[in-house]
Amino acid sequence: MEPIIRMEKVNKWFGDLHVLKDVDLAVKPGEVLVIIGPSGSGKSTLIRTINRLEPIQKGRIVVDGVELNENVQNIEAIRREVGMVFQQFNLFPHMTILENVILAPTRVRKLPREQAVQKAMELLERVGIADQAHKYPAQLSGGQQQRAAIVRALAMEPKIMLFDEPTSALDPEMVGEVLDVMRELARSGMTMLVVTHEMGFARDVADRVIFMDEGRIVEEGEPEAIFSNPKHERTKSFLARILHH
Amino acid sequence: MIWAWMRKNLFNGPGNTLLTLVTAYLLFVLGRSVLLWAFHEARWEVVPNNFRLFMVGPYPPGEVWRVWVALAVFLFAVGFSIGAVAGYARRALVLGAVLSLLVYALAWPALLPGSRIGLFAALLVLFLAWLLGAGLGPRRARRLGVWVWLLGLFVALEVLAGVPSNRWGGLLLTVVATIFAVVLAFPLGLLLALGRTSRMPVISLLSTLYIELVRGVPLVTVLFLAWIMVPLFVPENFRVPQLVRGIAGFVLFAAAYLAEYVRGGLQGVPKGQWEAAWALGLSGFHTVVYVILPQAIRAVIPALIGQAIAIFKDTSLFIIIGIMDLLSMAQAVLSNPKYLGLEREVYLFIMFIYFLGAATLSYLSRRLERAMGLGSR
Repeated sequence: MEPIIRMEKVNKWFGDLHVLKDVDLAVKPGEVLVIIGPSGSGKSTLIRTINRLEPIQKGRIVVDGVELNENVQNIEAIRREVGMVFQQFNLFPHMTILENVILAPTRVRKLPREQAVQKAMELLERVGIADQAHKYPAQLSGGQQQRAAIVRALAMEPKIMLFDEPTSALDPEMVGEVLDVMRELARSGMTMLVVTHEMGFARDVADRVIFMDEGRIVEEGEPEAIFSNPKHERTKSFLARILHH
Repeated sequence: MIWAWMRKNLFNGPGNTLLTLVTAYLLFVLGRSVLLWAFHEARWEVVPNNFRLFMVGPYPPGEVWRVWVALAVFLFAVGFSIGAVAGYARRALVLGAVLSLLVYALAWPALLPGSRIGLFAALLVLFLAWLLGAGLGPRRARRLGVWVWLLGLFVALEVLAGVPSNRWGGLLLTVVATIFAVVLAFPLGLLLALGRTSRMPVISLLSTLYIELVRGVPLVTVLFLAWIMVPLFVPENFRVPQLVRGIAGFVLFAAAYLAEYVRGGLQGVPKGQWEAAWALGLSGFHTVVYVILPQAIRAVIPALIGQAIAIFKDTSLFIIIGIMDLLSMAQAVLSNPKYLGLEREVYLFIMFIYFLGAATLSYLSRRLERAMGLGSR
């Protein structure tokens, strides 16, 4: 099958710091990709290049047949198809949950308000926070906020979902409710790229796991292969550190 | 209990006891002489005798109904907004009623019978609009609010304009100038703030230049400059009213300060908010309008209202370019030989009016801040 995301020899620098080094990656539609690695390894930067929150300096990225370049129309077209969930939720604090969710569908997709509201309520129902629709983000728990943020991204009916450490800012007892939503999403056939430290989730849900270190993809493969039988020395030591806590 | 409090706070040691006694003595002496003056010597009749002058200046007495209509329209917008924010809150309604009665009672002796009805009707409109705003509910009322204000200001201006603006004066002129200076300076300030933070170097440079230039010179010079310059930008046979030239000066001046407040607010919005909006596919324009600006403005509302209060007080500088605002009316009254030597009475009265206006605005701003704090992090 034709890949929905293709990255070729992608390089990125922050000033003098070389954060992505010749990254090649192809993601098939419906694939769930989990990216692991030590902090500073470039994994967040990698997924942020896919909707061009981070521009790249060398190489090319093609998403759903559209090449990412300076062209603003291209960038906005890709962002419509790519949903993103952030570590800090980034809900809009001056809007209710419902307003957060319908903003982009009504302004970008030009959906009539009633239709957008109906769709939003269905999605909120699906993640179990329909009763919070008229509250403001600050009135919700972290887990509820992150589920609302997932709904906000899903309301645009994206083909791809990017998750940038979605559970890292949550209290431990709320991690489960967010991971459950992500599991259900993976089962429904969504193409997902997930940066996470939740190894249990990676093992259960991922089709493929990628280990990054110092801006390079060091090793990739099925979760069983990576977790039980890592080939690379750096993968071994990373997993040893993270699994023995 | 009072004794305990006094011992703890006023007499807790020889030094503080001494300080308390000295302060009390000074307060007594000062208060006594002020009260003696206010009730025995002061000739307050100068205030009611010239009340119309203080309020509307040389506005023709036969046309004063226009002022009442304009005031009613203005209070309609005010009441509507309060209703939208405060709803039926009993404390707010009681406070509003007490304040209105106080104003009415204070103004009563100085007003002609027709004006008593006018003021009463205008205050009644305030409360009717309040109930209307509250009845519509916050959602719909807030959406309509902007239109109520724009339409209201337009209608009020049209009604007042039945008399040429060179015959407006007193408090009326002060209030009109303040409102229009604020309303016009706000969008200009917004544009300047966006311009200064823009990534386009020419726009950013020009905005920065303007802001720094205006902030670096005294208000009086900007007023003079606008007063001289505005006529140069319009056809020669078209005379720009003094008032418009004066307001233009305030707009140019206040916009630079407003821009800096808004810029502070813009920079206070976390980067994640931009990214979340972009990631949803919102355009740069939509991101600014729906996500960034509402948060930036919310964060600087106290500063914005502070600026409005400053403009309200600074309109007293109109006196130097010959516009008959509240302060110039005081001077006009004092130049009447009949009221020679009554500076204290007149200026105290003028101060009281300014204070009443500024205090009300500042109180409303604190309430508004709290009402809007709901969605803040």
